Amino acid sequence: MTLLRIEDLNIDYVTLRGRLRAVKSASLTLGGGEWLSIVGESGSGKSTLAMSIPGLLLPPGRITSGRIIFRGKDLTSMSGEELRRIRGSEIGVVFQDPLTSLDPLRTIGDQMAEAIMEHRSASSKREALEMASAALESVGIPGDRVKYYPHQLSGGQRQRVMIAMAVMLKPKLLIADEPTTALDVIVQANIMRLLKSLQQRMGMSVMLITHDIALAAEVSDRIAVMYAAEIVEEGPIDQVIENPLHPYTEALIKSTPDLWREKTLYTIPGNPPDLRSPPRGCRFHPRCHKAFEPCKAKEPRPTRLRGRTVACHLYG
Amino acid sequence: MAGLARYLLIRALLIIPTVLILYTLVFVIMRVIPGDPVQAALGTRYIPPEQLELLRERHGLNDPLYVQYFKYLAGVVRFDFGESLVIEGRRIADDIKERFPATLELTIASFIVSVGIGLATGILAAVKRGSKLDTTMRVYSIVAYTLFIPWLGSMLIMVFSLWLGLLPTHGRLDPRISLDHKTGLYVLDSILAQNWVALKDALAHLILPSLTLGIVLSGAYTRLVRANLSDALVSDFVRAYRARGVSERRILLHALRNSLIPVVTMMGLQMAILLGGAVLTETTFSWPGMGSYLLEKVEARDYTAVQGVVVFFSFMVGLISLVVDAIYALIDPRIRY
Ligand SMILES: Nc1ncnc2c1ncn2[C@@H]1O[C@H](COP(=O)(O)OP(=O)(O)OP(=O)(O)O)[C@@H](O)[C@H]1O
Ligand SMILES: [Mg+2]
Repeated sequence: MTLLRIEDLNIDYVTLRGRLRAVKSASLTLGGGEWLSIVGESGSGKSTLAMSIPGLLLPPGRITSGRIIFRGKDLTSMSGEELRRIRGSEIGVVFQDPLTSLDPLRTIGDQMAEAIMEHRSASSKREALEMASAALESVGIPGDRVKYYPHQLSGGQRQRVMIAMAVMLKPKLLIADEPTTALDVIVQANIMRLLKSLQQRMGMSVMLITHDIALAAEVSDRIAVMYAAEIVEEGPIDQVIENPLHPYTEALIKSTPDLWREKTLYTIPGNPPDLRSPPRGCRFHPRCHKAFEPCKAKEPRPTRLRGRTVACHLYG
Repeated sequence: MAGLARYLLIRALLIIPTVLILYTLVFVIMRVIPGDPVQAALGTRYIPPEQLELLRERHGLNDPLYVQYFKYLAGVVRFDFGESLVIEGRRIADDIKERFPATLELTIASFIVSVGIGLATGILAAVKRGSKLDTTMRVYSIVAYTLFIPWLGSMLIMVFSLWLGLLPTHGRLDPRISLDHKTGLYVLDSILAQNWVALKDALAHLILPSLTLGIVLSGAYTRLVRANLSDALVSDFVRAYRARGVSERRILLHALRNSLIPVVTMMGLQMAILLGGAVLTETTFSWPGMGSYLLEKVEARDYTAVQGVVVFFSFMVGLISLVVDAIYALIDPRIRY
């Protein structure tokens, strides 16, 4: 059962310095209960793609074309009010920095109860607070912490609170944008374990944004690799890690110590392109050791190959 | 709330040294000013030396300095600021009791005007950032900020009093109206006395001065609110509120609260300055407050009066900073814990 289908999505940031296409012709599907991770270097457009789904693009970001079909309805053509009702109830979001994502002036219980009452207009403040404290318990935080202010909690606890807030209304989809990047290593592992167990318990789908392909390999069902605003490869996680089709995916794996057990780690030469003036042809060709003539001239089109998708001239 | 009470107590105790330092400063400055105060107050009039000596004795100016320092301080804590050098037998505390309510009333009214206009324009500008409305508000803030009070006051008098004949030109109350001055705040007094004619007249007198002062002071709020609120509106926690489906109206309230601390700081500063007397406004509208009082007394070289007003003012500053601290703590839990 498909929960989410993104079709040929284009997203631009139009600034005084010019137009920047941060997501180009992206297509993806995500099944119910499935975990999809999106990996790629910094600036490749991962957050932009993910945040466009619940309508949380930062200005001046705008979807210029394409569709986002969530549970049969196109989110890109919904009104702001319709989207608002979906956010928090059917789609939950966890952000990178738990230190700045909570309102420092209000107790976490107030912040949780407010969201609950927005979506369940029938419930009283007391019921909402009870729900909030149950949600806290479900992420391993004592329920009486609803009375706490954000500054009274540690970074890891705050991220648990953010997760509790994102899942408290049992969403069908959880989007987590680098949820562990701001935390220290041990806390990172705990948070990932928590997310995995919540996904299994609640049967929700997860879209995880990360630049850590080794982390993605541990928890995901599927993986999508982004390079310079494009999805260059997508497929089941085991197949992609074992047998990467796109040279960029291969390079990413070979430069990750946890995945590449050889003595010499690979480093990708050069830098990712400026999205205001991306290279002609395949965007990866200036850094690709398998590049040949057509790569410089023609953009590769995504090709389906044994349940996977890859955009590379090596594959027709 | 125990945390809040403790915090306020500490703040209150900290204010004592502040006020003492201010008092000492005033005391020292008044003494180092060259010339004999009694002689200065009398100006060019000739007074026999024996009588001068009598006056000095009477005002305690012949005591050693430290005795003067503590004697005066002891008076101040009992709200006694000594006797006028110019008008024999006139207590400065009585002058302050008479003049301060006028200043307080004008301060409260213009504070409401400036904060009201400042918040409204600042919020509009921040919410519609980058639009024509935003530009309009920014221009307003600069214009308001640079307006000269006597000029704006005269303009308003010209339009509303002389031309339209709607509002009085000066003073606080029509002398034909009798009103029992319980608090000295005429608006409050007339409500207490249920004297609606007086209320209407007191309000009518209050409108132009408070509008003049309020408009000029509002420009700074517009800028401050706009800058802080538009930062708050793009902050991570606002995005997180949005991600939970909280309505934009509620998000605006939360963002506003988060941008309020610097605004409260400025409110405190303005309040302090206003309570010292808005000299230009008071002279433009013949408003009998502390500003015009201080001006009169400086001109008359009434040394004890000037000293009394300044010391009184430093106590007000201490009081306001305590109130500001309390508001900080109410807004921000990180301060009260
Ligand atoms: N608000 C914005 N205004 C203008 N350009 C933006 C904005 N947000 C992102 N971009 C640009 O869009 C491109 C994609 O950014 P995005 O944040 O989606 O990348 P990312 O893959 O999430 O990177 P990271 O790993 O650093 O989070 C970048 O070139 C970035 O500079
Ligand atoms: Mg990102």
